Amino acid sequence: MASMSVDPVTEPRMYQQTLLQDGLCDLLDANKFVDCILKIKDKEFPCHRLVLAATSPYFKAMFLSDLEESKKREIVLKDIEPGVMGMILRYIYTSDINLTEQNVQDIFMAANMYQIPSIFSVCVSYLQQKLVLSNCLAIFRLGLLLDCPRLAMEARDFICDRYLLIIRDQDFHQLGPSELAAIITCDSLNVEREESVFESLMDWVEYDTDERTKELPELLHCVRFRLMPTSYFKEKVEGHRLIRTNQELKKELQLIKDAQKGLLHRVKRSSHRKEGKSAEFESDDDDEDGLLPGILNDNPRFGMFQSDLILMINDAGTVAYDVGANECFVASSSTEIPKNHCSLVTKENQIFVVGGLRYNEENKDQPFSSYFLQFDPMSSEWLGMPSLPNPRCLFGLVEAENSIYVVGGKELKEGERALDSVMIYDRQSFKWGESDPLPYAVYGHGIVSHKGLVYVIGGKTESKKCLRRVCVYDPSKFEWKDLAPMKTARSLFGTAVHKNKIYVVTGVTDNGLTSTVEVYDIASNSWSEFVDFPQERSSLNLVELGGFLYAIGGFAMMPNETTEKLEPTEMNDIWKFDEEENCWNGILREIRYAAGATVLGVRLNTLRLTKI
Amino acid sequence: MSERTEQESYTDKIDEDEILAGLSAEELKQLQSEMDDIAPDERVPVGLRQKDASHEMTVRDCTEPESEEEIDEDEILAGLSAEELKQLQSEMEEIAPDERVPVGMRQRDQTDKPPTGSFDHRSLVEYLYWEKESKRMLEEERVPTTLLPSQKTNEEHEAKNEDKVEELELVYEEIVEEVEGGQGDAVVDEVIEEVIMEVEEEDKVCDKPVKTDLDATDPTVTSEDGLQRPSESADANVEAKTDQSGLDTETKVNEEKKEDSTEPAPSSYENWVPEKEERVISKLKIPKLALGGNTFVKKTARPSGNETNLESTLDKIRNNNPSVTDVNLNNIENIPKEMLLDYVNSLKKNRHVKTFSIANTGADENVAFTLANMLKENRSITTLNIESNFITGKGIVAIIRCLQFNETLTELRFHNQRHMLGHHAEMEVSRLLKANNTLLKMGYHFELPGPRMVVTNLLTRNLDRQRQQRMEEQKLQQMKEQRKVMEMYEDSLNLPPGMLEMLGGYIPLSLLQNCQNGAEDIPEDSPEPSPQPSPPHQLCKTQHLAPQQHPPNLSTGNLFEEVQLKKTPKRRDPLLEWNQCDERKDGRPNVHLRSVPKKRSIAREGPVDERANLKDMIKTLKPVPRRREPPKVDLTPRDHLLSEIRQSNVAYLKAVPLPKILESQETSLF
Repeated sequence: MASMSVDPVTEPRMYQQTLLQDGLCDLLDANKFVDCILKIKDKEFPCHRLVLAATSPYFKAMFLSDLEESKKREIVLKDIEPGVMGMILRYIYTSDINLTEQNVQDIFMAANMYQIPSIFSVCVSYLQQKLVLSNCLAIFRLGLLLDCPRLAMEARDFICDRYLLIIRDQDFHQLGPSELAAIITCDSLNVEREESVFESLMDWVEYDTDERTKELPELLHCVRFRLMPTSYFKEKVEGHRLIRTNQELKKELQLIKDAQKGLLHRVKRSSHRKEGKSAEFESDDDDEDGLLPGILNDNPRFGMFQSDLILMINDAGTVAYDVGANECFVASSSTEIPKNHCSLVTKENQIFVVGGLRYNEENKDQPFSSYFLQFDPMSSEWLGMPSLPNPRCLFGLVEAENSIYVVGGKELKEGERALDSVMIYDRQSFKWGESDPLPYAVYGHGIVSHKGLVYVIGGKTESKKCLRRVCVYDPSKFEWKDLAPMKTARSLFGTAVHKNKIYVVTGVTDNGLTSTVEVYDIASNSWSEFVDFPQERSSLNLVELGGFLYAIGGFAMMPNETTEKLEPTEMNDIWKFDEEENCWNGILREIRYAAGATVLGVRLNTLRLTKI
Repeated sequence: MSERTEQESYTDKIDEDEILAGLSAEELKQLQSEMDDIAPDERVPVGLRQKDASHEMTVRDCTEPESEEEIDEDEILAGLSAEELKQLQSEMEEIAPDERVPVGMRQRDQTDKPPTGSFDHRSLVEYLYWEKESKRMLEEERVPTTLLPSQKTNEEHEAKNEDKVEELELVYEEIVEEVEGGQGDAVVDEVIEEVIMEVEEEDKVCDKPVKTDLDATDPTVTSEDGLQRPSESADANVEAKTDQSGLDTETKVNEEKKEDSTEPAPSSYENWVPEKEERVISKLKIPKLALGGNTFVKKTARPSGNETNLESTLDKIRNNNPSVTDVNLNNIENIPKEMLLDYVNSLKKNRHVKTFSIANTGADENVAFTLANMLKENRSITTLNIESNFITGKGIVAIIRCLQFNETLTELRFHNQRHMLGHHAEMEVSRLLKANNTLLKMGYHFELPGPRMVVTNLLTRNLDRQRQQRMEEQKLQQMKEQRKVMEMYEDSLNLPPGMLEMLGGYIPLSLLQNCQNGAEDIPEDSPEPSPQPSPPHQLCKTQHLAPQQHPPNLSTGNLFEEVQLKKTPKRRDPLLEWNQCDERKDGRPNVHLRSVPKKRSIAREGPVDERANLKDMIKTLKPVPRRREPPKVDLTPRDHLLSEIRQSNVAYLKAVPLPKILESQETSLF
């Protein structure tokens, strides 16, 4: 049956194997050549010795041995459920198996016991696919238990990636010491601070202090104390109640203290592990000269490569720029990002993009919508999310209170009217809905969120007049309120929150571009002048990153090279505001990835990105 | 027989003499007197025609007391039983009222109800205080106060305590002066001072008995003869006083505590716990009897009668306690705003509470906003009741806005807010509700016809959707069962699983069933779809929505529940009444009525009938004292309705005539 779909010319081996299997199955059904019966409890499974011996070394050894058993027609198997054996036999004869979360563990065990490699690997693959937060620890332990490195490694990597989430799981405390060690020795541990590794270890110990204290010396070697700040080390590590009282541990920690002072002793591993002799170091042993004790390991973990990056998203790809190292990384080469989108980075460092126009035939009421995408840093891909009903452009995209808001903008349909409507995306139910509308229709405005409040600044009205108006929305009170207006009416400017103040940089006024900068003090509800930007611009991107303000790109009026006429030209430079000198400093003249891009200040792991 | 013959004889000629001769002397006398009445002797003058009754009276007085002749009243009265006397008196009062009693008070005492309990002044006073206080608090609530009520009471409490201490000290000083005036000796002074010190100390400790130290001071006192008496008396005085005052303070403190605990304005969510209160009361040295009667003291810690323990319920909600599924704060007076907000906020993460009711708790806009945000997160509440509050259209719109993202709420009641919703809000509600697919009931009557229609349609749509979903689930379930049967069949045939299908041998279900019946004990109907799908989901919902007793056959018509509730008839079943009548007046020929209805009612509602009989019995046994709770507050018509609904029960519902087919079956049972 299955052989029908296989082409005998291109896949002769496959073809032959399928035929062979089908033939064996037919023989079994016809009860021909059946020379053994597996008896489990009260169920009997007739089958062929040849087939069993060919699939499993266990049966092969059994049938080849001189044991009494091997001669008998009926073979009684214990320690296995008849249902499980039925499924295994079915797989052997038909390559068909229906693994589920309920039966996989039994089948896995049986495959292990009767040494059936094919089913074993099927189970491993199945479990790998099914790795999720709730079962990864169990699968990891299963992998170790059944001595299956592929599964254990996969699960361990999964755990390491989500270490900070998993340590909150109750199952984490159930891990054995060696299992825990296998996890926390990993370089791939996704933690930004080594402190969290230490804390999770101590949590684990305190779960069963009496039993686990004796494991502590071994396990402390997995923690990379040299990656911690010295102050933390002094207070929290040395001061910890389980460590403070333990002389042996104290001596080990002395090593680290020496190392912190710059004294790096090359120690023979075995020597200090044996007894408390480690006070005097022997550096004469040449064999292990190159090895440091694990406790002195200072290789940064995977998660420590997280760094502040300027992320530029456009329809050609997504590129991250590291200001400090002056390096560029490709975050995603996906070109499915719509033009004229808006982007957003949340407090939890999730990156979203909304925009473009999407046509959905199936939805008769509202065939048009805007794309809504989220960046997945694990896979470096943009994931499609529920699309935004009533599509628009030049709107504001902002996050507050675990919801994403799309505020105002211009309709993407005939009339292109300015909108006052506010759409809200609820991240719990994955649904877009309507929120309280703005008091006025506006587009090209600036929008920021701060402490759960949404600020809408300036923009243009339906009559294309620039606004000074500033409004704030309180999601917990469901109301919009007016705040002190800006000094200059403007739209299409760059805005960002920096040190509890909202910065508004350049933009378009009723009389053309401006280079002025205004600052809104949230506490005092007042606007004040700020250092002008060196050039008049519109659509400038302003981001706050690592405590600094960066201004990127935008449009300026530049003389055309040939006609000498002033026309809007896209700029692709990066500026940084220097607070000491109180001025804007250019740090990069041209970065082509900024062309037509929206810019965000994000934290991403550079190890996941491809350097350009 | 004999009568007849007599009649016949009348028609014949009567031989008077013969009859007369056959009569005895007495009979003759009687006859004569009768004859005198009927046919007086014409020869006697009319004035003298009265018969000689002196003899007669003795014979007739018992039977005809109303004769105008003199009656021996005392004798008659003596012969009456107590009950008869009472009856007589009541009748007499009506017939011949006592002239000396003013007309307005001439009503007779018709109460046969035994007293509900001994008169308890304290509880009455307390009750009055309560009523007044709650009224005051309600007033206060309208006007926001700067000082939290809790702080206020605390301060008052402290102030009172201080007062008390001062009072005590004053008392002692007076005594000291007295003693000094009498003797003027330092020793006594000292002694007394010592006592005072002790008392003061004791006042702090509050429990120590005073006696011990007095014994110690005795010797010094006895050394001086003259002093002995006064000092002792003074001592005793002090002792008594202190003892008393100590007790006094104790009781006072207790009282205070009690007041504090029953104080309507709760502090840091002070205890409304009825049990706790009981404990405090029992500490008081009030005779048990006085307490015994007024059960309402502990039951109605609140006039509303809502016995929800605010604090512990809140804790349980916070801890996600699965036992709390129904939170009812209806009508509770003076829930602090903060607590209401705490409640709502703690519901955000709760996964067990299904019903949340805060009708008439003075919830305002802020509560509504918090509720809205809560509904965004919560995934367990199916019924929300916020009727009769101060929520304006803005708050309601906010809640509806958040219902865009809620997929569990099925019932929302927000009727009767202090302010009108307003047309704009109504429009918004109807517009926003489009995004919700789960709401099935809305307790609000729209002013505008447009939104009303829209919302009705939306709710119908949701109901329909729910039904469709259910159908799909059923289908899936069916498929699953089918598959199971298949597997079982394979098992029973001892085939490797899937082998059968692989072979293409798809055996019709009917055949499979036959096979199974022989092989294994599988429920026969498992592969068949149950003819009347009664989804458990739906059923349990109705239970939540309608905790009152429902006729069992109304499980699906949720939408019209309200109507049904109003309709619940309080009329008794006429058939049942008849039955009772029948049983009582057994002798009366009642052929048509008896047979049919009786059988039916017994067949349908056997236990109910029994209950009715029991009630009847109870009625005849009048003097059984039934303790009734005194009315807690003025009952509103709503309360009446509610209590009627509560007490209503199947017996009161109109009997539905049985369909013909069933009837025949039922009757055949008898």
